[in-house]
Amino acid sequence: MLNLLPQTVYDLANFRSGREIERVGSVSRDLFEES
Amino acid sequence: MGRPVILTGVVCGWEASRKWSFDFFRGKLGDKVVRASDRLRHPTMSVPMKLSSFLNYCESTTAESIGWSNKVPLYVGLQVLGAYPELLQDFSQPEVVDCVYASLEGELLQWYLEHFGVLLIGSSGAVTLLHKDLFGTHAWLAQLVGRKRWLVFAPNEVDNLSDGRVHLRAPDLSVKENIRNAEVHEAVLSPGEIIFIPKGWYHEVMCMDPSISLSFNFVNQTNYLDHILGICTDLPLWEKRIDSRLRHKLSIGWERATYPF
Repeated sequence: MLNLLPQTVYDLANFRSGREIERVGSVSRDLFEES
Repeated sequence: MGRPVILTGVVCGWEASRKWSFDFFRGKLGDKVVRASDRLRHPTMSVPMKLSSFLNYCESTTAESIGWSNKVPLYVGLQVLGAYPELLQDFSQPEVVDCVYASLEGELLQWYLEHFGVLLIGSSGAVTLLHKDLFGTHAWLAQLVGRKRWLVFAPNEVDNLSDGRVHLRAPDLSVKENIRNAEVHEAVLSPGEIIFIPKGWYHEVMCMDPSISLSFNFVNQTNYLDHILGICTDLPLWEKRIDSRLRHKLSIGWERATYPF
Protein backbone atom coordinates (compact mmCIF):
# COMPACT_ATOMS: atom_id res chain seq x y z
CA MET A 1 0.00 0.00 0.00
CA LEU A 2 1.30 3.40 -0.95
CA ASN A 3 1.64 5.81 1.90
CA LEU A 4 2.37 9.11 0.24
CA LEU A 5 -0.39 11.03 2.00
CA PRO A 6 -0.78 9.56 5.45
CA GLN A 7 -3.25 12.16 6.67
CA THR A 8 -5.74 11.48 3.89
CA VAL A 9 -8.19 8.81 2.85
CA TYR A 10 -5.94 7.70 -0.02
CA ASP A 11 -5.22 4.59 2.00
CA LEU A 12 -7.70 2.09 0.61
CA ALA A 13 -8.24 0.64 4.06
CA ASN A 14 -10.38 3.72 4.66
CA PHE A 15 -12.98 2.53 2.18
CA ARG A 16 -15.73 -0.06 2.61
CA SER A 17 -14.36 -2.01 -0.28
CA GLY A 18 -11.96 -1.56 -3.13
CA ARG A 19 -10.76 -3.26 -6.21
CA GLU A 20 -7.88 -2.93 -8.61
CA ILE A 21 -8.80 -1.52 -12.00
CA GLU A 22 -8.48 -4.34 -14.51
CA ARG A 23 -5.71 -4.33 -17.11
CA VAL A 24 -6.72 -5.56 -20.55
CA GLY A 25 -5.04 -6.07 -23.91
CA SER A 26 -7.97 -4.69 -25.87
CA VAL A 27 -11.07 -2.60 -25.22
CA SER A 28 -14.53 -3.14 -26.66
CA ARG A 29 -17.35 -0.63 -26.81
CA ASP A 30 -19.47 -2.50 -24.25
CA LEU A 31 -17.11 -1.25 -21.54
CA PHE A 32 -18.83 2.12 -21.90
CA GLU A 33 -22.40 0.86 -22.06
CA GLU A 34 -24.96 0.46 -19.33
CA SER A 35 -24.77 -2.87 -17.56
CA MET B 1 -22.58 2.54 -16.37
CA GLY B 2 -19.65 0.60 -17.84
CA ARG B 3 -16.42 0.26 -15.89
CA PRO B 4 -12.93 1.75 -15.96
CA VAL B 5 -10.16 -0.34 -17.49
CA ILE B 6 -6.49 0.05 -18.28
CA LEU B 7 -5.35 -0.77 -21.79
CA THR B 8 -1.81 -2.05 -22.16
CA GLY B 9 0.38 -2.58 -25.18
CA VAL B 10 -0.85 0.30 -27.36
CA VAL B 11 1.17 3.35 -26.37
CA CYS B 12 4.45 1.49 -26.95
CA GLY B 13 3.73 1.79 -30.67
CA TRP B 14 3.37 5.56 -30.50
CA GLU B 15 6.18 7.89 -31.43
CA ALA B 16 5.07 9.97 -28.44
CA SER B 17 6.12 7.22 -26.04
CA ARG B 18 9.72 7.61 -27.22
CA LYS B 19 9.77 11.32 -28.02
CA TRP B 20 7.56 13.22 -25.56
CA SER B 21 9.64 14.10 -22.54
CA PHE B 22 10.43 17.13 -20.36
CA ASP B 23 13.37 17.89 -22.65
CA PHE B 24 11.23 17.52 -25.79
CA PHE B 25 8.64 20.04 -24.61
CA ARG B 26 11.34 22.36 -23.25
CA GLY B 27 12.76 22.50 -26.76
CA LYS B 28 9.47 22.69 -28.65
CA LEU B 29 7.27 24.88 -26.45
CA GLY B 30 9.68 26.22 -23.85
CA ASP B 31 9.04 29.91 -24.66
CA LYS B 32 5.28 29.51 -24.53
CA VAL B 33 3.71 31.28 -21.53
CA VAL B 34 1.42 28.92 -19.64
CA ARG B 35 -0.74 29.31 -16.56
CA ALA B 36 0.33 26.97 -13.77
CA SER B 37 -2.29 26.28 -11.09
CA ASP B 38 -2.56 24.42 -7.83
CA ARG B 39 -5.63 22.70 -9.26
CA LEU B 40 -6.72 22.13 -12.82
CA ARG B 41 -10.32 22.70 -11.74
CA HIS B 42 -11.34 25.61 -9.54
CA PRO B 43 -7.75 26.80 -8.87
CA THR B 44 -7.07 28.84 -5.77
CA MET B 45 -3.70 29.97 -7.11
CA SER B 46 -2.61 30.46 -10.70
CA VAL B 47 0.61 31.97 -12.05
CA PRO B 48 1.81 32.67 -15.60
CA MET B 49 5.27 31.42 -16.46
CA LYS B 50 7.28 30.15 -19.39
CA LEU B 51 6.75 26.46 -19.98
CA SER B 52 10.50 25.92 -19.72
CA SER B 53 10.44 27.36 -16.19
CA PHE B 54 7.46 25.22 -15.28
CA LEU B 55 9.16 22.07 -16.57
CA ASN B 56 12.22 22.89 -14.48
CA TYR B 57 9.90 23.40 -11.49
CA CYS B 58 8.27 20.00 -12.08
CA GLU B 59 11.56 18.18 -12.14
CA SER B 60 12.78 19.83 -8.93
CA THR B 61 9.62 19.98 -6.79
CA THR B 62 7.89 17.36 -4.69
CA ALA B 63 4.91 17.53 -2.37
CA GLU B 64 7.23 17.04 0.57
CA SER B 65 9.56 19.84 -0.52
CA ILE B 66 6.80 22.48 -0.41
CA GLY B 67 4.94 20.98 2.56
CA TRP B 68 1.71 19.02 2.27
CA SER B 69 -0.18 20.86 4.95
CA ASN B 70 -1.43 23.83 3.00
CA LYS B 71 -0.04 23.68 -0.53
CA VAL B 72 -0.06 21.34 -3.46
CA PRO B 73 2.38 21.40 -6.36
CA LEU B 74 1.48 23.22 -9.56
CA TYR B 75 -0.13 21.65 -12.59
CA VAL B 76 -0.55 22.69 -16.22
CA GLY B 77 -3.12 21.58 -18.77
CA LEU B 78 -2.00 22.48 -22.31
CA GLN B 79 -4.55 22.59 -25.10
CA VAL B 80 -1.96 22.78 -27.86
CA LEU B 81 -2.95 20.05 -30.29
CA GLY B 82 -4.85 22.48 -32.51
CA ALA B 83 -1.94 24.92 -32.74
CA TYR B 84 0.75 22.26 -33.13
CA PRO B 85 -0.86 19.65 -35.42
CA GLU B 86 2.50 17.95 -35.96
CA LEU B 87 2.03 16.46 -32.49
CA LEU B 88 -0.91 14.49 -33.90
CA GLN B 89 1.56 12.40 -35.88
CA ASP B 90 3.04 11.05 -32.65
CA PHE B 91 -0.03 9.15 -31.42
CA SER B 92 -3.34 7.67 -32.56
CA GLN B 93 -6.54 7.47 -30.57
CA PRO B 94 -7.55 3.88 -29.77
CA GLU B 95 -9.96 2.54 -32.39
CA VAL B 96 -12.73 1.90 -29.87
CA VAL B 97 -12.95 5.64 -29.12
CA ASP B 98 -14.62 6.35 -32.51
CA CYS B 99 -15.35 9.95 -31.47
CA VAL B 100 -18.07 11.69 -33.48
CA TYR B 101 -16.03 14.91 -33.52
CA ALA B 102 -12.90 13.28 -34.95
CA SER B 103 -14.34 13.30 -38.48
CA LEU B 104 -14.60 17.10 -38.49
CA GLU B 105 -12.35 18.98 -40.88
CA GLY B 106 -10.49 22.28 -41.05
CA GLU B 107 -11.33 24.85 -38.38
CA LEU B 108 -13.95 22.56 -36.84
CA LEU B 109 -11.36 19.83 -36.37
CA GLN B 110 -9.02 22.39 -34.80
CA TRP B 111 -11.82 23.38 -32.38
CA TYR B 112 -12.31 19.75 -31.41
CA LEU B 113 -8.59 19.22 -30.81
CA GLU B 114 -8.30 22.39 -28.72
CA HIS B 115 -11.30 21.65 -26.53
CA PHE B 116 -11.29 17.88 -26.14
CA GLY B 117 -7.57 17.03 -26.03
CA VAL B 118 -5.19 18.14 -23.31
CA LEU B 119 -1.55 17.59 -22.45
CA LEU B 120 -1.22 17.34 -18.67
CA ILE B 121 2.12 18.13 -17.05
CA GLY B 122 2.71 18.11 -13.31
CA SER B 123 5.26 17.50 -10.63
CA SER B 124 5.23 14.73 -8.06
CA GLY B 125 2.26 15.30 -5.76
CA ALA B 126 0.21 17.41 -8.19
CA VAL B 127 -3.45 16.50 -7.84
CA THR B 128 -6.60 16.64 -9.92
CA LEU B 129 -9.33 16.81 -7.29
CA LEU B 130 -12.35 14.55 -7.30
CA HIS B 131 -14.64 15.27 -10.24
CA LYS B 132 -16.56 13.72 -13.08
CA ASP B 133 -15.96 14.90 -16.62
CA LEU B 134 -18.36 17.40 -18.17
CA PHE B 135 -20.96 17.04 -20.88
CA GLY B 136 -21.53 13.30 -20.51
CA THR B 137 -18.21 12.47 -22.15
CA HIS B 138 -16.08 9.36 -21.73
CA ALA B 139 -12.33 9.93 -21.36
CA TRP B 140 -9.05 8.21 -22.03
CA LEU B 141 -5.67 9.20 -20.63
CA ALA B 142 -2.33 7.88 -21.84
CA GLN B 143 0.53 8.00 -19.34
CA LEU B 144 3.78 8.93 -21.07
CA VAL B 145 6.19 9.98 -18.30
CA GLY B 146 5.99 9.13 -14.59
CA ARG B 147 3.21 7.34 -12.70
CA LYS B 148 -0.24 8.47 -11.59
CA ARG B 149 -2.35 7.16 -8.73
CA TRP B 150 -6.07 6.86 -9.62
CA LEU B 151 -9.02 6.62 -7.26
CA VAL B 152 -12.22 6.05 -9.24
CA PHE B 153 -15.84 5.78 -8.06
CA ALA B 154 -18.98 4.63 -9.86
CA PRO B 155 -21.74 7.16 -10.57
CA ASN B 156 -24.03 5.48 -8.05
CA GLU B 157 -21.61 6.48 -5.24
CA VAL B 158 -22.66 10.10 -5.68
CA ASP B 159 -24.30 10.33 -2.25
CA ASN B 160 -21.25 8.90 -0.47
CA LEU B 161 -19.06 11.43 -2.27
CA SER B 162 -21.23 14.46 -1.44
CA ASP B 163 -21.99 14.84 -5.15
CA GLY B 164 -18.28 14.92 -5.91
CA ARG B 165 -17.58 17.90 -3.66
CA VAL B 166 -15.57 15.95 -1.08
CA HIS B 167 -11.82 16.63 -0.97
CA LEU B 168 -10.05 13.27 -0.66
CA ARG B 169 -6.77 14.88 0.37
CA ALA B 170 -8.29 16.64 3.33
CA PRO B 171 -11.81 15.28 3.88
CA ASP B 172 -14.25 17.03 6.13
CA LEU B 173 -14.49 14.73 9.12
CA SER B 174 -18.24 15.20 9.20
CA VAL B 175 -18.58 13.45 5.85
CA LYS B 176 -15.72 11.00 6.27
CA GLU B 177 -18.02 8.17 7.27
CA ASN B 178 -19.92 8.58 4.03
CA ILE B 179 -16.67 8.41 2.10
CA ARG B 180 -15.82 5.18 3.89
CA ASN B 181 -19.02 3.69 2.49
CA ALA B 182 -17.89 4.23 -1.07
CA GLU B 183 -16.35 1.44 -3.10
CA VAL B 184 -13.12 2.63 -4.67
CA HIS B 185 -11.54 1.39 -7.90
CA GLU B 186 -7.82 1.97 -7.69
CA ALA B 187 -4.75 1.79 -9.91
CA VAL B 188 -1.27 3.12 -10.36
CA LEU B 189 -0.99 4.02 -14.04
CA SER B 190 2.51 3.54 -15.44
CA PRO B 191 4.12 4.93 -18.60
CA GLY B 192 2.79 3.11 -21.65
CA GLU B 193 -0.68 2.49 -20.22
CA ILE B 194 -4.05 4.06 -21.12
CA ILE B 195 -6.92 4.34 -18.64
CA PHE B 196 -10.52 4.57 -19.86
CA ILE B 197 -13.04 6.37 -17.63
CA PRO B 198 -16.70 5.97 -18.66
CA LYS B 199 -19.11 8.91 -18.44
CA GLY B 200 -20.25 9.87 -14.98
CA TRP B 201 -17.47 8.09 -13.04
CA TYR B 202 -15.81 10.25 -10.38
CA HIS B 203 -12.03 10.27 -10.20
CA GLU B 204 -9.20 11.89 -8.25
CA VAL B 205 -5.70 11.59 -9.65
CA MET B 206 -2.29 12.29 -8.15
CA CYS B 207 1.10 12.42 -9.85
CA MET B 208 3.55 10.08 -8.11
CA ASP B 209 6.48 11.36 -10.18
CA PRO B 210 7.08 14.30 -12.53
CA SER B 211 4.39 13.41 -15.04
CA ILE B 212 3.34 13.90 -18.67
CA SER B 213 -0.02 12.55 -19.84
CA LEU B 214 -2.20 12.99 -22.91
CA SER B 215 -5.95 12.90 -22.43
CA PHE B 216 -9.03 13.17 -24.63
CA ASN B 217 -12.71 13.33 -23.82
CA PHE B 218 -14.85 11.58 -26.38
CA VAL B 219 -18.38 10.98 -27.59
CA ASN B 220 -19.59 8.01 -29.58
CA GLN B 221 -22.83 6.08 -30.02
CA THR B 222 -22.68 4.81 -26.44
CA ASN B 223 -22.97 8.27 -24.86
CA TYR B 224 -24.29 10.57 -27.56
CA LEU B 225 -27.59 11.22 -25.76
CA ASP B 226 -25.79 11.78 -22.44
CA HIS B 227 -23.57 14.28 -24.25
CA ILE B 228 -26.55 16.24 -25.59
CA LEU B 229 -28.19 16.23 -22.17
CA GLY B 230 -24.86 17.21 -20.57
CA ILE B 231 -24.59 20.22 -22.90
CA CYS B 232 -28.11 21.28 -21.95
CA THR B 233 -27.30 20.90 -18.26
CA ASP B 234 -24.10 22.92 -18.44
CA LEU B 235 -24.98 25.24 -21.31
CA PRO B 236 -23.09 28.30 -19.97
CA LEU B 237 -19.89 26.23 -19.79
CA TRP B 238 -20.48 24.74 -23.24
CA GLU B 239 -21.04 28.20 -24.70
CA LYS B 240 -17.54 29.16 -23.51
CA ARG B 241 -16.20 26.48 -25.84
CA ILE B 242 -17.91 28.03 -28.84
CA ASP B 243 -15.45 30.79 -29.63
CA SER B 244 -16.04 33.60 -32.12
CA ARG B 245 -14.18 31.76 -34.88
CA LEU B 246 -16.50 28.77 -34.59
CA ARG B 247 -19.62 30.93 -34.33
CA HIS B 248 -18.64 32.56 -37.61
CA LYS B 249 -17.97 29.20 -39.23
CA LEU B 250 -21.34 27.85 -38.15
CA SER B 251 -23.13 31.15 -38.88
CA ILE B 252 -24.35 31.27 -35.29
CA GLY B 253 -25.76 34.64 -34.27
CA TRP B 254 -26.31 34.30 -30.55
CA GLU B 255 -27.17 37.95 -30.14
CA ARG B 256 -30.13 37.61 -32.48
CA ALA B 257 -31.48 34.47 -30.90
CA THR B 258 -35.15 34.64 -30.01
CA TYR B 259 -37.29 32.15 -28.21
CA PRO B 260 -40.90 31.42 -29.18
CA PHE B 261 -41.95 30.75 -25.58
